[in-house]
Amino acid sequence: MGKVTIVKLGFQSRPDPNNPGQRQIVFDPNYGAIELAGQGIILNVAITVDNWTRAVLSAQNQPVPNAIVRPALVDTGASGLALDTSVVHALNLIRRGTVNCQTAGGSRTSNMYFVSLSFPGTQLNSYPFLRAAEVDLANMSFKCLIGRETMMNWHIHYNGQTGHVSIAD
Amino acid sequence: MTFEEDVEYFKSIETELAKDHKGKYVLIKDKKNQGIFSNFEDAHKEALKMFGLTEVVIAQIETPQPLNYLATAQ
Repeated sequence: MGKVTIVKLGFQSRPDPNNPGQRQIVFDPNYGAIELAGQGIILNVAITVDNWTRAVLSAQNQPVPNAIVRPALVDTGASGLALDTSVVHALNLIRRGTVNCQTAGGSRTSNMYFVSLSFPGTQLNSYPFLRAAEVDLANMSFKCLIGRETMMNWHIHYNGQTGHVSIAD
Repeated sequence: MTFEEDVEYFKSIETELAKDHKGKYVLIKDKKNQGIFSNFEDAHKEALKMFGLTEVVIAQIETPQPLNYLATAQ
């Protein structure tokens, strides 16, 4: 069983009232909770081509893209994995179909790909083969949405009062 | 044939395919049904075997499974 604990620290940079123009680092026990409420659950993920595509690339002596690490939002509103267009381009992913996405702005069709997903620095299980929809997250701090297809294997404990999150599988 | 043409071809034959293969996965390439599979992974493996690293359409037949999301993605 793998586990990761995410702790939003209560340290904050603020203007120093005693030294105009300077900033000070202060500890605010509520800041971690505020941070978690504002950003949601974000963790780093490593994304690369799926294992079957990797095997074909290797057999053809073609370069296998290195996994790229990006921040991902754990999104209970997403049914499956979604990747920003920049990730799709960086990995040269090949389209494998389309999926319908229901968003706040209405329904739209997105390209679908297959990838592998892992969680560097944690003991959470990796996923060698997952489908992923392409979305535009250009203006977001995260470049990936982790949906319920992955979460169905997780036990998530979310403490909004302290800003602590733990994920186990 | 383009990827978009294959997507349109799938839409045009989906109802017909659903008579015998509802819930299964079809592999479309060059506006042809290249095979029916039990899961995405098998269809993907066969597509790589048949066509290498080229675009294909793999779609689940008449089972709405939107990869929806509510985050502020545009």
